[in-house]
Amino acid sequence: MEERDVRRLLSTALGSEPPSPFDSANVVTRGRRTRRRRRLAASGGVVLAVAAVTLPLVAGLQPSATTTVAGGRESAPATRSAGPTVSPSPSRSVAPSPSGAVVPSTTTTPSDVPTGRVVLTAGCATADPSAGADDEHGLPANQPKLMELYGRVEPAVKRRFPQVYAGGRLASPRDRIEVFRKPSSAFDEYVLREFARDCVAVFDARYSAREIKARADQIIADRAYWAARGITVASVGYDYIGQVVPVGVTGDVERARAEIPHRYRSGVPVEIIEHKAIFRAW
Amino acid sequence: MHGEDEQQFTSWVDARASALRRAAFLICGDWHAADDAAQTTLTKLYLAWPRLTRRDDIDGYAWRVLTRSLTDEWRRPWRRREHPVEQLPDRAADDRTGQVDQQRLVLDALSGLPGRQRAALVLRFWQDLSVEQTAAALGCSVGAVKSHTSRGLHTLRVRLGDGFLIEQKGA
Repeated sequence: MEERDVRRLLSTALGSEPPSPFDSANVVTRGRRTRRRRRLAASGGVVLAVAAVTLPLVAGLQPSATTTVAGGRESAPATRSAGPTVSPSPSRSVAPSPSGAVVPSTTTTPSDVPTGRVVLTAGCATADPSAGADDEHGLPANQPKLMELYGRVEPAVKRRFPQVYAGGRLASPRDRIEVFRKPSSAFDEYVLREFARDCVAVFDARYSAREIKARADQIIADRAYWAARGITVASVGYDYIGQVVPVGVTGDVERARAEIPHRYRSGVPVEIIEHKAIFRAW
Repeated sequence: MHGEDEQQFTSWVDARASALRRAAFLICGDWHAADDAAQTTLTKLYLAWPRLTRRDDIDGYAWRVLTRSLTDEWRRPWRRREHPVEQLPDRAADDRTGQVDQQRLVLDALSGLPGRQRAALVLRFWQDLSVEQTAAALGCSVGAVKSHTSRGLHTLRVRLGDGFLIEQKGA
């Protein structure tokens, strides 16, 4: 059977073709809608991750080993009450540099701006904070643009630099996305090179997302240990931006605040919070 | 996606969507499933467009996504029962009966092939992809593509018989 015979056969199999349902405008509309849904899902990732871990714990089940987290929150990393944290430094902001260089300054910054050394891509020279104003739907007007950017940056750096990548978030008021990583010149060079046209701010983190997740997994595995000591671990979350593992406990919270951080005194810190009962609607 | 990117994407869709759809039909044998697979491919292509234009790998990505989106279909029994045609054969007016019968015969023969063999034949001989491009689309080795192609052709020959092709040429 020759090549043209096969082609003829396939042409016969095709028969008469029904009208195509594809219209490029509809395809674009569907693509936009899908992108919006994905980004909204990504930006809610932290909440989902905490819920995914919390609910099985409350129900007395093992948490899913495949829980993942994407996205971040807009609030600033708070100073934690227990264990080591990322050391706060004097608040500084930086002037965007076309070359993408690190340019620290001593200007006072809004309270939610991460502090410390920052690396900015060249695109930050044209970042426009006024673009973060609310649109007619009450959402920041630059959110679609930043979500699109986040959708490009986050998977790329997570895949290439799993040892150092900590997390990321949209920073609409500053018309940029902010990513956190353990100090890595290779990471910075990659971001500066690949996303030069966009505004990406890179901040230092003490722990990678992988390390934070490992700590959370460790605490989950230790639930029986704590239960034997009269402390019920009801929820475990990941806070990649705040660089801490929030642990919700019930019962003697003060004793938990003394004992749990002591056991996990080296490495990723934990923050003990009083776990409020979750109403299960199903 | 910025305005310029979106314009490029629209042009690509206008030029290539039909080819995707036809190839999907030849692989899965059902226009509805083909439309679904093509739509999935176009949506994923839209999401990945800025990255793909930088890599200059648009077509390769599209074929990869299309064949993978059909993978789920391959796990299900192929639709063997009937193959809808656009128009019922009109015996009195013209001789479309033979055409429909031939289409059904070939579709039935294709349906008897494993999914990867069908996809390899369609990509190689209908889309004129190289062995390497087909291997990339199917996510397998070049040797595997050659094997799928050879076996697929052999099975088609056995199922249809040499006489079918001669009859087609004479028709």
